Amino acid sequence: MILKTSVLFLKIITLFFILSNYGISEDSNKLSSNHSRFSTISKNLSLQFPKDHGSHNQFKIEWWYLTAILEDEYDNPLGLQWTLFRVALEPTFEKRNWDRSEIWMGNAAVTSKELHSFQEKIARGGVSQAGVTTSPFEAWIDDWNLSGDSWNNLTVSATGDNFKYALTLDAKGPLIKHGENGRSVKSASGQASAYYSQPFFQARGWVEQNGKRNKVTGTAWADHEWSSQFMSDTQKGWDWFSLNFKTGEKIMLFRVREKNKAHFYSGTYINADGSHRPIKASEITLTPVEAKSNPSPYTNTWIIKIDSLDIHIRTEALNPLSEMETIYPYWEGPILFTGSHSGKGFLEMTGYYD
Amino acid sequence: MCDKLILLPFLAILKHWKRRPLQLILILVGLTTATALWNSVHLINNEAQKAYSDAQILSEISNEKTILAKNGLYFEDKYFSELRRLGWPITPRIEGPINNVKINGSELDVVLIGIDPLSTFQNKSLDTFPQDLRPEKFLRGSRVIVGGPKTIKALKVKELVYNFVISNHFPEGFALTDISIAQKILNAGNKLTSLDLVGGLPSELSDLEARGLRLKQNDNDVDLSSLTKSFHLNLTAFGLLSYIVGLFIVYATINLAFEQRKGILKSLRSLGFSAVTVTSLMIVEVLIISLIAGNLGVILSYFLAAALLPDVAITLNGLFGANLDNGLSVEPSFWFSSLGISVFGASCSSAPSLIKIGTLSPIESSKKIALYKKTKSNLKYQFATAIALMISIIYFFKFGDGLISAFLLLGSTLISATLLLPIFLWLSISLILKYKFKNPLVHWFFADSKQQINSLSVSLMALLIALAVNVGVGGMVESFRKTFIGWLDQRLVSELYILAPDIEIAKKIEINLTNKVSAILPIVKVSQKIFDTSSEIFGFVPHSTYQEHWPLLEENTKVWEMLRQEKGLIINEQLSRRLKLSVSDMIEFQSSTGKKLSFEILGVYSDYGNPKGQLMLPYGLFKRYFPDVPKLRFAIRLPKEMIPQIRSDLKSAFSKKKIIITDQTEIKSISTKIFDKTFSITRALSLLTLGVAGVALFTSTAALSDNRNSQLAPLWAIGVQQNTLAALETIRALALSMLTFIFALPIGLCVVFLLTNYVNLEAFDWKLPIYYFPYQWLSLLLLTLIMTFLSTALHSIKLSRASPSELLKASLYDT
Repeated sequence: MILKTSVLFLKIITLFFILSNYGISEDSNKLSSNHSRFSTISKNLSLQFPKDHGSHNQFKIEWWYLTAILEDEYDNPLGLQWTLFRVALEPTFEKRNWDRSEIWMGNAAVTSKELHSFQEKIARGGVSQAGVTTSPFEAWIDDWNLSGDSWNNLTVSATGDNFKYALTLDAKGPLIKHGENGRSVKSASGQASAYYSQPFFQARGWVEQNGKRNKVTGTAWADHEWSSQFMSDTQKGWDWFSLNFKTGEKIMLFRVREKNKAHFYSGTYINADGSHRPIKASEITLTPVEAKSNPSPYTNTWIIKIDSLDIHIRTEALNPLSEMETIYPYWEGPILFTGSHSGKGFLEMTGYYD
Repeated sequence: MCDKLILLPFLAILKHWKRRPLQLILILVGLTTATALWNSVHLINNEAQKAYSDAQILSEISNEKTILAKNGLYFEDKYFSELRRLGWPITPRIEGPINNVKINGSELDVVLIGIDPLSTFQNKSLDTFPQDLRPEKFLRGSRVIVGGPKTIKALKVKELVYNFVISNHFPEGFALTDISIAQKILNAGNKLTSLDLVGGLPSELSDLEARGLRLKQNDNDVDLSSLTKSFHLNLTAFGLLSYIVGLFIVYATINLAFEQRKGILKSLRSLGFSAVTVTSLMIVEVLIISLIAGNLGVILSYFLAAALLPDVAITLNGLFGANLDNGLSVEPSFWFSSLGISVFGASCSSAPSLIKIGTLSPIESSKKIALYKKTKSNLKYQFATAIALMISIIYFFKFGDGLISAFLLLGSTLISATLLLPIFLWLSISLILKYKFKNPLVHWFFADSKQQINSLSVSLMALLIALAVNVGVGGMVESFRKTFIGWLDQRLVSELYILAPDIEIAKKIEINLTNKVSAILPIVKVSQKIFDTSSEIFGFVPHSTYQEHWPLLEENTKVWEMLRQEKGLIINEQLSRRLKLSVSDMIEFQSSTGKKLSFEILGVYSDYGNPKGQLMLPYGLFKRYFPDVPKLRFAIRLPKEMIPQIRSDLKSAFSKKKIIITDQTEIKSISTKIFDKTFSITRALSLLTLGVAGVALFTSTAALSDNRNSQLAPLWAIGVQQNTLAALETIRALALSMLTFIFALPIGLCVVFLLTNYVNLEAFDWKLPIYYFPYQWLSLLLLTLIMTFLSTALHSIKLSRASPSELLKASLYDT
């Protein structure tokens, strides 16, 4: 009860913090607001590393996202998430310390077939309670962190009320820039983000859930994305997939849902050697298979068809109850897929609550 | 038809008031004052309660465990994020007075508290925050300062350009804002004053050590409301007392009105109206009267409370640190409950009469009221009740424990004394009558007085309660005052008190003052729970200053020598009582590292007004066991004439360093002022009770005046002058008041005894020496006589001016 109240409380605070600073109390969709004082993603985007692993303060929203599909010593599948969000409330890039209007949020979760454990952290920007540095790389909020000399070798750790984990991550392939050189378009009207991934991590470490610690191995996928406007005003949320084929290929795929017109689709097909190409919207058919008895707004089963790649698969959530009941609730969890190809992946569904 | 049938008898009943409007006014006055006094006490209590819950807000944002700088006030704010990254669940805070921003009438600067809302509220329940204070307002634009109306007004004068939000639920004297703003206003960029723990304590305390920080356990467990419980119980008891005294008037008047209306009531019964109908009509009448009185009472209570509240505010603030706003708010529910109180009071006082109506027989002959016949049997009942109550007094005296039983003891003593009063008066006059007076008029005077005891007894009882309470409370307050002032003189011996902001400056101050003053006595303290008792451990130098002035209740013969040799410590009376420890017992507590310490108690000192336990440890021992507590506070001894010089020297040497220098006389005058206000409410209420008793006396005399004429007419007929009769009436009232006063004085002293030895002891854990104040009694007697004279004046004047025909009529009517 206390937890619930405090969660609600934090939601109110944060929402108010955000709204009051923009003076847009009616527009609840903070991701789609017009923020002329923040930068937009240039069409000539050219990503520079390691600099671009760091934070981009002139942009409003940014995240570092790590999802891992693991197996414990008994071959039980397990999903893991570590995310750090940065939300600038005002373009106070030059302001330091407590004056800076910036909020950082951390989400971490461990999802097994039976149990989805998650935790959220919230921190204020400007005072190093949370942040990202590039050389060496470190992203942190309180005592959670994702760090390493470079993006080739990272360690990740987090502690929640009933879970704890620590993994080492070794990259077995190159960074993948989505869209055009990393400029990932999100809507027909041109909203875009800078978006790259490291989908080739081999992960090894331990995960503790409800006091039981298990050694785990598997793969992990890291994303880093930033923008000042992810969605247009007519868009509501997105459904995002990362798929690891048993044969080594990978796919990143998403649709941004429009309120009144056709949804916006995009994706990247990645070969096992790291070569990749964008998947055009016209190539993608993404069909949610609604279970009639499902009371939740989230879809557990999806049919994905990409005819140009002879892909026709059906995905199932490992644990349908993988909602992140955080300030902005969303669904994030591991999925298993079968059909023309089989493998494991991660699914994220956002914007299902107004 | 039916309506008329009911309306006519009702009008017949009501007609009585038209004939005797004074009686109606008296019932209204009695009921209104009773309701008003009771309600005003409740209004005050409610306001105070609100203040506590407001103060509670402040403790909501301060936590049980706090991290502070080891030396000094401020530390770098980077430690916040460093410790968060090490897993410490902490929230930063900066707090300090805003220079020269004072609330009107207050001596203290407004304290600004800067917090980080995101980490502060992480584990707090939303329900504890009043609507105005929820962070949505607080965080708007991140430029908000929240405070009570007066505080915000004071801040606006300072021309601070921020978004001020007035919250009626925030204690005055404090303002809450974001840390970024607070750092700027307090000129403390990148600085913090504390890091409060909002979660469990990590095991690595060395993280703090390395940063020059220390962990402090806050003693928030001293519950404000429990502290002030006795204060409110005190007020409530007074409210109740005034209420009861007021009801005495109502009872007396209603009873008389009933007796006078017996004729009409019987006629109604003879006409065929059932006892139920007649009783119902009387009930409706009482209801109407009580509703009118109730409404008047609410209005009056509002004014009364508004007049008393400023004193209460100062009292609570001074005594307990609870901040009380002077504003009053009356809610509809309060109005209704007040009406309820009035109706309840009227019902209780009219119940005996109403029951009599129910049993009234239509054929019963119309007898004149024979008060004297009843007197004796009434006295028997009263005596029996008084004896029963005395048994309960003995019970409470022997076995009672706790504040409630202390109050019950007080209550039963007062009531049994009240019941015994008529017996006392009866016996006293009987004794006088044994003397064979030569003058028949004198003999008649006393015999008649004896006969009047019963009819006046209700108002005399009210007077007795009022007098006993006045003597009792007056005695306690004065004893308290005398003791307190004496204690202040003993405690505040040093000429100057200095507080340094950090250890560096403290050292410089010491160097600066060495050789200039006679003694520099450091004062250091830590809070600790000693066997579940919130206590403060002080480090002090056993200097002759203390030896000469410290009031020890119990002591080892070599206490000061042993203290200087660090062979033990002294504790306050409260701690001694709570832990049941006395001189030569060992007391156990912990050092800052958690090591168990045990020292012999060498003395117990009185410590009036302190809710906490206190322990005075020789400075050397304190330094050894609490090395992390900085030495920032000093008491300075110096010749009086040097005070201004040293003061200005220090001010010029440390102008920018914010050292706080307090003059002993300053502290004394503030303390005395607070003290004087502390009991002004109690004094005011006890005087009001006396006033109500005066009204009661007036009521009884006025109500009796009609019958009196018929009783006095024969005397006039045999030649006694009207003026003589009038004078005798006044003299009798004065004599009865005087006798009541004589009876009330020992009862009042008994009240003093109970208040100081039981109520106070239970409430505060300290005993008060009793002093006697004969001048106070004398002035009270004078006041009583004046009041009696005034309350009987009207009747006497009427009597002296009554036309012979009136007296003749009365005389004939009586025969």
